[in-house]
Amino acid sequence: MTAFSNGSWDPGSGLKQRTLRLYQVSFIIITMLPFILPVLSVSASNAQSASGALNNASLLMRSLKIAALSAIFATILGFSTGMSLWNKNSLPYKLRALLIFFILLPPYLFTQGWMALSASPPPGLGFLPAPAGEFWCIFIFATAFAPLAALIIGLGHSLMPWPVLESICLSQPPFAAFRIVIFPLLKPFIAASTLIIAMLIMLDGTVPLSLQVPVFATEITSRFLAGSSASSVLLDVWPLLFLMLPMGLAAFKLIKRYSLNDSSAGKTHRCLLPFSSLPAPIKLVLCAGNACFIFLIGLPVTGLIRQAFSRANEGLSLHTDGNAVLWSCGIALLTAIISAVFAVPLGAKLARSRKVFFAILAFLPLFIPASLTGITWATLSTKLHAFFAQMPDGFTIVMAHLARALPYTLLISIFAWKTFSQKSTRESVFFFRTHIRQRLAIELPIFLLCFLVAAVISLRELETSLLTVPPGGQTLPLRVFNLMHYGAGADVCKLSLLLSGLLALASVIIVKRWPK
Amino acid sequence: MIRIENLHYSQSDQKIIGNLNLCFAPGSVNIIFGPSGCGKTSLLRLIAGLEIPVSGTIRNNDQIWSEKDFILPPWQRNIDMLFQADALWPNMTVGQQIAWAGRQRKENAGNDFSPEIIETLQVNHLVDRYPAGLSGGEAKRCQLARVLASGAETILLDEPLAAQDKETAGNTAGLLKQILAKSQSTLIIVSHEITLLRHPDWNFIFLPDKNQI
Repeated sequence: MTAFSNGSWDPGSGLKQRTLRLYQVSFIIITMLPFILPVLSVSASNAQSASGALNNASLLMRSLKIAALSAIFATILGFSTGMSLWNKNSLPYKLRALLIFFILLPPYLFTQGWMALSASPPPGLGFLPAPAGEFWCIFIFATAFAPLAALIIGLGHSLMPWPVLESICLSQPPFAAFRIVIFPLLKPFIAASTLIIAMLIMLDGTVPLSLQVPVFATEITSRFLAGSSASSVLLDVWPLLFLMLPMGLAAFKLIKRYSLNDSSAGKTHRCLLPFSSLPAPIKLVLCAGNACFIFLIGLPVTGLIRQAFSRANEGLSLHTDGNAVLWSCGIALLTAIISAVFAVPLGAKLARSRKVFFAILAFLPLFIPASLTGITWATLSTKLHAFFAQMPDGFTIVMAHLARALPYTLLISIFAWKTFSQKSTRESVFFFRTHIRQRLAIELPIFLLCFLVAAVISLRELETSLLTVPPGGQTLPLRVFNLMHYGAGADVCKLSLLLSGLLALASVIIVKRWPK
Repeated sequence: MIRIENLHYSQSDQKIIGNLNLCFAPGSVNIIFGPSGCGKTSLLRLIAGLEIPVSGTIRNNDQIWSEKDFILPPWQRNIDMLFQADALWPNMTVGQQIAWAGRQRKENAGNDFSPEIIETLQVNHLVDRYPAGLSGGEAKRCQLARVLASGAETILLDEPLAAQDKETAGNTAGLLKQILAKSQSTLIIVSHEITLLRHPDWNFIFLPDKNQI
């Protein structure tokens, strides 16, 4: 009680303030390390940066064009599914685990899927041209991010004040209700969904890399691998960061209008807007939208499955591929445990805090491209070679994955703590005798959720692995990416399916374990 | 005439309403009262079509509104409801919402009483404001104005005098009586404030705990 009254103990996380501060500092160091790149590399080449400036502008414009078009198409594609998520009897609601799976599926596997389809023997879609160029880049990004758009729109719909929806549905048929109240209230979420997806696409270099479309995110890696210094890479990245900061702030402000503690949050309705009572044109639009969504998103996976079990089997090597799987699982496990240990107490603190500094702490690392994180850790391991040589194999890659996973894990933790009943958190003090049992009872579901999210991010991470993997080491996404250059063979499809299977398992557990 | 026959309703396996039989004459004003948890609000939601009964029937004249495997969509019932929670549409001003409800009435019945209702309920000064800026009591009166302006055939009022102090609640009750005297709608009101709503022509229905009527 004394500890509580003198403010040295944080009631949300159950940890001492001093321990929490240590966690915060560690979080900042691990995630925001790219900003110390100029210190790491003192030989910045000003001439190189100046000559690259013009090229940067055109690359940035191309990135922006691809991101904007893909995000708009993704939102349009995900709209009807997002709207249907609200109804308990709808097909998208029943298949929500599948939706989570497609959100977790890395976009480069969609590229792999379409490659498999275009290379499939008849009868199939062999008439499709092999994916390459800007059009395919936009198309694959749009289909890969449509499930996320559907989830954000569905979340927006479920956060609308309950009686408001009921009152409009009492007096107006569905289309009028949608036009008068639902759509105007949904507009901020549609805008936020487009902005968030555009930001994620601008940071993603994997799809453009596999389709050989140079964009800003791929250029960062290319320049570093071509011998540019780390600090000149950071100087080149600033325009991207400056462009994304207002986008991120706008998305944050749009979503912040709705309180997550609203009593209607997370509810679905079974009486309002039953599908059978909808007018025929709306039924047709919803059905067509959902069919289009399922077709375009499911098709690449069917391509992977078909190609994986085709006869053209070149044989997987237990040594190379088995090691890649083991490496991936080991790194994911370590990353997930450390991320969850950090994110759960920090999330508990940030969920209750209204300080801007803490918001920046949680959101700023999200704007750092994966390639920049990879470059930072690769540079650090070269500069501090003596220290890193003492560390076990894979230390650098785990740290890089940690830097990627921590911001997302922290966001999930904050969201989970906000939806978690604050009352039950306080009341648990009376039910359990020991402090550890109290914390376990409260935190275990959130810990598991954070663990799974971090494991998934680590499992699908490609760009940082590309730059930080130790000699002789290989992760599953890296192996897939390397084999992709030789076309959509059976082996690469099998490995892609294996990666998808691990992600599917995680998505099923996430849906089952998500706090109701 | 709204007729409720052998109505049973449960929520999460907990019985809320058991074997309820009621009848509401057209144009009548009916006050339902009873202890907390006896199913008053659930009854209004069942009549509105926002919940599905376990068994029994709700019908209006010859038209079935709700039964076990069938539910007529709420918007096909010519019904409006005042909710206990704030149900004003956040994207419109109070004036826009009441005027919109008035236009609905004009389309259906050929007249629009919304200016009169705004005057009587004394919400003139709130018409240009958005719901976010209103207090609980003001929001309740504005919502009441919108519901009454809609002139629906059946109007359900869930605790219309809640969220107001005793004096304001007394005034609102008086104003409500004035408006309802001219109304053609069938009114079903759930309220704990039955002393304020006392009226010789109105029907009072007591719903006992875990009722068996």
